[in-house]
Amino acid sequence: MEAMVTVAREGKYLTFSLAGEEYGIGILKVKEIIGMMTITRIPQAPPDMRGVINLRGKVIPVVDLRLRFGLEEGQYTEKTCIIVVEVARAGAKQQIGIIVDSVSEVLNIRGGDIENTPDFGSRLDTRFILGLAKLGSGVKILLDIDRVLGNEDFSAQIPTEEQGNRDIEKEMGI
Amino acid sequence: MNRMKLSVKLIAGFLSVAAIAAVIGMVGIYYINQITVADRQLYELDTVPIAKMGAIDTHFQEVRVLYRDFIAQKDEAKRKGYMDKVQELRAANNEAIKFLEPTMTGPDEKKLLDDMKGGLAAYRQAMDKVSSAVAAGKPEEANRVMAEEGAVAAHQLDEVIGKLVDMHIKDAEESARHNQSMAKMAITISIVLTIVGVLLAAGLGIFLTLMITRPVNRIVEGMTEGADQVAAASSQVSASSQHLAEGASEQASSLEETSASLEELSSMSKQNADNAGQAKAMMGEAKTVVDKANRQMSDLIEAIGEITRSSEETGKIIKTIDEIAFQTNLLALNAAVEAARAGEAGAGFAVVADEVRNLALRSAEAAKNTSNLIEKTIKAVHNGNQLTTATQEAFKANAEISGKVNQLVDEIATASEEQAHGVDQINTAVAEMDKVTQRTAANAEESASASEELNAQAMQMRGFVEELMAVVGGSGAASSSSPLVQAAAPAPRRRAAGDVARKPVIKALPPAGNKKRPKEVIPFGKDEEFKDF
Repeated sequence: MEAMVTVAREGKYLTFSLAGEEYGIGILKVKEIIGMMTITRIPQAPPDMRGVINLRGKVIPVVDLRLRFGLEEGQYTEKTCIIVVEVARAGAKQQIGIIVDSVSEVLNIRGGDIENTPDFGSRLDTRFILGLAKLGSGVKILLDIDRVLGNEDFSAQIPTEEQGNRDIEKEMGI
Repeated sequence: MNRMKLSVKLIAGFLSVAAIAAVIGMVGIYYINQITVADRQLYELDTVPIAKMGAIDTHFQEVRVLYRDFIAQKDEAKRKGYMDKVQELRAANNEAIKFLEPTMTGPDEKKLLDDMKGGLAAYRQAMDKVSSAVAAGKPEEANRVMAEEGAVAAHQLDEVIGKLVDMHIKDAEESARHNQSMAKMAITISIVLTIVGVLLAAGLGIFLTLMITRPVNRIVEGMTEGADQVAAASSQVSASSQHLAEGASEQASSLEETSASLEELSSMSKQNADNAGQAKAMMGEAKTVVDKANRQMSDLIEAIGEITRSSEETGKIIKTIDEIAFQTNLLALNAAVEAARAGEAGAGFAVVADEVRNLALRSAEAAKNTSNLIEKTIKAVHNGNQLTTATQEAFKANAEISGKVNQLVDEIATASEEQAHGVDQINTAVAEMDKVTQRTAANAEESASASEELNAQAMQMRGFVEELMAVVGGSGAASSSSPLVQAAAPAPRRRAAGDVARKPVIKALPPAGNKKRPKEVIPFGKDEEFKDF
């Protein structure tokens, strides 16, 4: 089970930074990477839902991942990018843009470098994390973007995501 | 009395003495006159009547003799001659009686005179009888009448005359006694008056002498003191004048030094003014330099602005490059995503994409570095700009200061010129002062000699005062002499070379110690009486 999971998680990831941390998304989930562009706000939308963009005639909703993770709202800069991902929602594939601080690179992460998410306690839902990739001295959080952008509003369940991250760091001796 | 003039006092005194003498003389004259009158009375009322009475008696006796002869004479002519003689004698007797009448003052005398008259008349009647008897040729009758009536009458007459003579002699004695007593009284009164007069005159004399000598003594004392003081003061004046002269000459030398210093000062002031002028010129040059520097600073600021603009342009370009690199990176990433999607077929493309991405990253890195550099440049330029602005401000301040310094130097130059001018004026004034000081020195020396002369005159005055003292108080009082005056007298005489040779006034006056005795001036009488005053 362990090996299978490891093999399944091995592959290319698109890494990006968000609030100082490095995250990774499976490259096959990524549809396109674009720079920041005009976002049209949608009334009544949840706070993390920034609005929609018009990408070459296609209207795509955009989620601010910071807000999604309950992090502090950041300023959009030249490096701010929108990663258009294709997620399975309600059985259908849907393209959603996620706003990240900056896109880093495409990394080929070996299975041996990926570790499971440690148990932070029953209160914390860590299902949206695929694993933690050890690269050099740092750790990249590999996200299960389907779950991240899933319907369940986990942001309410993890109001102290930042705190959780810190706990992780502490536990890992950083 | 003290306020009266000396002459008035003296005249009054002597007049008083003269009045006393006059009183004494008048009293004496009065009494002598009285005695003379009494004497005359003695003579007229007593002595002369006695003689007259004697004469009457004699005449009577002659008449008796004549009648006897008449009786005896026979010759008619001779008788006639006798009768004439009788008539003559009778007339003489009548005259004598007439003379006697007023001299008979008392009632007894008058009665006796009447008796005498009666006696004479009775005798005359008897004689008339005799005459008629003789005429009738009866000589016996005549003799008888003669012997009877004539003898009785003659006897009576003799008695009366004797009484009268006695009475008159008594009167004369009384008168003589009276006169003697009067003379005694006159002598007594004269002695008393003389004593009183002498006493009064002596008292007045003493009083007057006191009146005169006391103030004169005071004056003499005061004058002596004054003369001493004048002598002392004049010697002091002399000393101070000499000091003054010395001081003036010192001052003169100081003034010469001052003059020399002032000339130095003047030249220094002039040099100062010149230097200030040079400094002014230099400041003008400095100002042009500063202005030039200011302009260059402006140019520099412009250049820096240009650099800033260029840097900003470059920054924009770099940004564009960065954007391009970013886009390229995105493209490379997209390409990588596509290559990954393509699986094995996209492996080569993935490598290319990776390379492109690397290039993009390097581009971005280079752009970032360049951007940093440019940012640094811009920062440096900004700093430079600030510095330049500060420098420009400083230069402006410098220019201002230069202007002020220029002004100040200008003022210094003007002030130095004025100072030089002022120093020249001071020099002139100092020269004047020098002249004045020389004059002062000369004057001081003159005044020193004058005060010496004054001293000599004070000494002389002292001599006069001593003389006066001798006059007033006798020779013993005038012997003391103040040592101060003598000490002050032999002060050395120094005269300026140009001083007018003055004749000492003292030579024109008689020497103080001339040998006039006070007694010769005012003979006061006995010295002993006035020694006490």
